[in-house]
Amino acid sequence: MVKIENLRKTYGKFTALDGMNLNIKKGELFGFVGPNGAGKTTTMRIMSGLLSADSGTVIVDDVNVTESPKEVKNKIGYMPDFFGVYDNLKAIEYMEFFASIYGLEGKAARKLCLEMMDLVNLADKENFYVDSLSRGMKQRLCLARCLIHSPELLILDEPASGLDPRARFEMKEILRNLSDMGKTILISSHILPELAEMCTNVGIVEKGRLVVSGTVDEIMAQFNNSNPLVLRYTEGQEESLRFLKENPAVDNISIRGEKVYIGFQGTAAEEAALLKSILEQGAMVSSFGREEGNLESLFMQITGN
Amino acid sequence: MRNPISKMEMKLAVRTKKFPINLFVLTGILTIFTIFAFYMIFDASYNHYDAEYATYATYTNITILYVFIAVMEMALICFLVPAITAGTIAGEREKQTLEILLTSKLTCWQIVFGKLKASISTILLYIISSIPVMCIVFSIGGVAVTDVLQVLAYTVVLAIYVGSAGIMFSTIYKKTISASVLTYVFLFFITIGTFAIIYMRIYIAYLDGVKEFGAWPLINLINPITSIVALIESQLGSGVMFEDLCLISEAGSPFNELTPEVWFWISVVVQIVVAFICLCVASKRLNPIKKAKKNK
Repeated sequence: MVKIENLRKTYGKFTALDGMNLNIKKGELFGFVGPNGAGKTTTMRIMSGLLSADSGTVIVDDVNVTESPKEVKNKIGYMPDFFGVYDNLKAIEYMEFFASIYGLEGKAARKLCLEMMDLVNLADKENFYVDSLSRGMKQRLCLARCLIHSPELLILDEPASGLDPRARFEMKEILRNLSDMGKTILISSHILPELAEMCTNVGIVEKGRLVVSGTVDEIMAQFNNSNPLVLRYTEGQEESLRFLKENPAVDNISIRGEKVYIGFQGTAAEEAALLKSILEQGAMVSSFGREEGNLESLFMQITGN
Repeated sequence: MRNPISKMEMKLAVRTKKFPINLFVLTGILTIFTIFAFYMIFDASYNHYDAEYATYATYTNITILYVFIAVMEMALICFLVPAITAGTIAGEREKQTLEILLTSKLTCWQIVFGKLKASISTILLYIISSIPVMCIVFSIGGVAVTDVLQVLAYTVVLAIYVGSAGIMFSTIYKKTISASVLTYVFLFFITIGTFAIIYMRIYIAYLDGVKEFGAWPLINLINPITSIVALIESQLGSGVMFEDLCLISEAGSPFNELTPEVWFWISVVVQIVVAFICLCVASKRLNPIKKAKKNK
């Protein structure tokens, strides 16, 4: 559905995108994660035709964004990370305005608008003025607006930012429903755990490049090997640590409470050999294993923090 | 197909309380000045001279009143148009709705034209509301209905002309205030600046001992003051003010043979062309892809 190849974009001396490559298959709910300034919004703006790239190609459903921007606009629904409001406009009028842009007028337009509003749980807010809606409701209305022309790809830039937990939950449910309906969704966030719960695939961006992509499980498996080993001694800790410091395979050692964290890159067999040597030194170990990776630490690790 | 932008903008413009208040204030200003001028021209002359003089109105007095109302109407529109148009695109940027429009099916031209159409529709309401005030010139006679309608039609052209520049500046500057200031500067240039350029040129020409200075007075074709003067003088069969103002007689052949009527129509065409160029620039400025290519 989306194919991005070697995308580059600079703003003066700042390189926003440095050879971005991305593939999103049809029907995927793809999470685009990265710290602030990593290049997520720039990529999305290029995909939406709001910005031109210095080089590289963006193909959306076999259409080149640079060559046929108008054709691509019919295939995408873009939701920016802010919600601009027109004063003195009711929610239904806001929807009807965007319906009229796509040539829908009259009763047919109103019916479709109400259906879209119902899809985002705003059916009872049709006569409310847009600026009187809560932030969560505005975000959902903006999402409904994106759906008015039935786009195949939804590009959502941090749709859950600034929302309270309930509004976030509602937004996630709506996005899951849309995904179930067969829509391809690209959603960005700088919080990996937030996306991991609902996305089928995740891509992590850092300094304008896609560092890693795949399912959350695949990424976790790939990076768990580099998590520190955690040991708990019952006897002989000091002697054992002196021994470990001399081991060239050990990067660093830190002690937090009763747990000892050892930086160690190696296979499962090498871990077993290390444990054997610790025990042979006469230390007593009550627990030994890799630290369980969580998404937050994984994200910090990947993005170099 | 109806332009969705203009449809929505018109709906929003008339929905606020500000709109009828502005309409009332502007028509009120025009009314007060017109009645004051009417009094000064007719009633005051009665008190000042003698009763016999005031029993009939001179044709000159009627034309003075007519010119006064037409110029007042133009001045009000010139004052109003930048305030309405300069915020059209910059306002969308400030409200953060521009990107949403740019990612929709709308073309940049449709957005720009829709904004202009909505602004002109609003101004048209102001113009229509001023018609009863303008009709005061019919109370004595001497001015035809078609004359007043021509002035009103030119006021619409003027609104399009200045409005297009307002929209262009609105696409160039991110803040409404900057776009408004530049539109007023543009307005100052086309009304006062062109005279300044021509008079400076004349001064230099006289210093050099040259009596004819070619096409320089034609700069005034972009000046709406010369257009309205040419229109009124062509209607009233005069041409003195037009000659003095446009300095056509000093332009030399073949320009010095331009009549007020011909001048008016050429100036309308020139101003519409300038408006079209402004809209094209605005449309180009709005296109994010082309802008980025240019910046590379």
